[in-house]
Amino acid sequence: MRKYLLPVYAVAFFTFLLAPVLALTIGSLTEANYVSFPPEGLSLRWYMKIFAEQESMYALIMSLGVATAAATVATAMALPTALALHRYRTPLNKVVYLLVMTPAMLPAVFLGLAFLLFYSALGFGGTPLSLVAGHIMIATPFAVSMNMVGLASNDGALERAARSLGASPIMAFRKITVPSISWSLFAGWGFAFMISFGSLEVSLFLSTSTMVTLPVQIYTGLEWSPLDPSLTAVSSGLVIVTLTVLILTARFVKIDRFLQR
Amino acid sequence: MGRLLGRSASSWLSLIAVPTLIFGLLYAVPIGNLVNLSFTPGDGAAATGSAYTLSTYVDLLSDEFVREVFLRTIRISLITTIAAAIVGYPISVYILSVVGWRQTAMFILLLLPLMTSVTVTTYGWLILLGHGGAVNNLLMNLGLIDAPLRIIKTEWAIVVGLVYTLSAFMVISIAASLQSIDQNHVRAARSLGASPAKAFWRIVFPQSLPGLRTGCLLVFSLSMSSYATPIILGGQTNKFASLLVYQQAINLLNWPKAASLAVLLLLTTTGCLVLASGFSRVWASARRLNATDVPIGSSGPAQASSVVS
Repeated sequence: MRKYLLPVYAVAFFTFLLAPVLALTIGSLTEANYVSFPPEGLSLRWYMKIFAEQESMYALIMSLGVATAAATVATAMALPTALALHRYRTPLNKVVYLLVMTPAMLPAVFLGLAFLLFYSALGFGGTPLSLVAGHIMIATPFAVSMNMVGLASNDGALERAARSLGASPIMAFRKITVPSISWSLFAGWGFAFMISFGSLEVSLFLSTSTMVTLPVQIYTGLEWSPLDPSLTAVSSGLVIVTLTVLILTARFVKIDRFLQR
Repeated sequence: MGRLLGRSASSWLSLIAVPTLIFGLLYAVPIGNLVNLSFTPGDGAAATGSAYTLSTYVDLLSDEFVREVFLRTIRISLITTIAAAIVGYPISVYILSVVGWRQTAMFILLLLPLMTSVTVTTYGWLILLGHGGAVNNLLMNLGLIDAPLRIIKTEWAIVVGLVYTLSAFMVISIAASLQSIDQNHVRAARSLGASPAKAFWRIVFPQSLPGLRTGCLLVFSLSMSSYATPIILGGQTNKFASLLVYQQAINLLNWPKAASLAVLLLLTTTGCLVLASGFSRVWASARRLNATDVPIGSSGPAQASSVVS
């Protein structure tokens, strides 16, 4: 009896984690004009409706574009940063670490407001560039910490061997180190993408009425018509993108790698 | 040696120069600007006065509504932290006991609420917890209640939403410190006659406290700064501090006041964490003093509450 207590509890817990996502996805298949769970009838009519709606498609494309750009820049900045922090011991390491990691710790509205005020003062507020810039700041910490895990799990002996056999530092890094930590580059990119793709608060501050990301559009829709089934269809579209990236990312990062510090 | 040091310093610099510059300009300066703004006199959006003042903070702290919102934010974050610790601890134990694809699947499920936009998951809870939602239907079909319960627009709905979003931080933090425990200690205790429960409370649990502490720290600070969950599930009557910042900035365009509210939120969170770590240190030293008098069974739960308080 006691033996089954923990597994049964775990099943209940993971059901709890899946419940709202399932409710949305299944609820979006309804035929009725309002959201209900379980749904009344099964149809894809609300998905057809959002494909025809320009606003939702525009928001989806905006979110995908911003997240791709932000994750790519974040990864490009995270690798050299993690490398510098991992390889060299300087008194300034702590300062650099705090600079690139604290965006993940500060309240999101604090960041959103700070970005809005300053980016507007710099003259690019209200443009997609400001949205990308803000998202780079909130996504980079995740890419940096993933790259730090990657570098820590790679002891560097192979690179030293390559160097002693006459490879140049750049050659040894490209041929030996990059392949052995590439999983952390991919995983870092994936986490950065998901953070940007799902971000609400920072986007709320930086978006304008004509430049809206998917979470902002859903949030605004919730204020006016929470029971509109096309809103659940848009939401489950977001879930599908996130879940795809999450499964691909999880293939690169095994949980035991994640837990070893 | 000197040359080597110089070379390594210059390659260190060449690696971090660009990221640091970008972060300095697009992150550190905006934050400095915000903090600076929070000390300027709050005359609507046109605050250009150069004199520093604490007046916006004084105004905020003397506003009963603001105090009420901040106290609610602290109280619900505290409840969320305790709930996440209780809900998450057994999962950390379980997730380490399985291997292979099942562990990967659990890992994906665990990260799902964290990585899916909080707007969307909270919307899902709105559907489940609503008046005619699945939870009410289930409870009525089981005959536990006669009429639908009012769950959304209460503080409990907020707690459910926050525990849902944040429990992964708790589980991963605790699992990380459980992972590092030497299993030989547990085997030694068992071979010396300790029951599994006794071995757990005396050997495993105390060594997992650092992870529990990290988890509580993360869950508490993230729940303090949560925005979407409280407003979607709690409604206008259960406002959180983050919403005040947004309303002041976007709806009322009072940027100095919004800035000082944002700084106040950060300071309140930090203050609570400093207080909690002080308490847990005092508790730990008090516990060490009379360690011999403490009955075994009671030491575990008492410690758990000290960490989260």
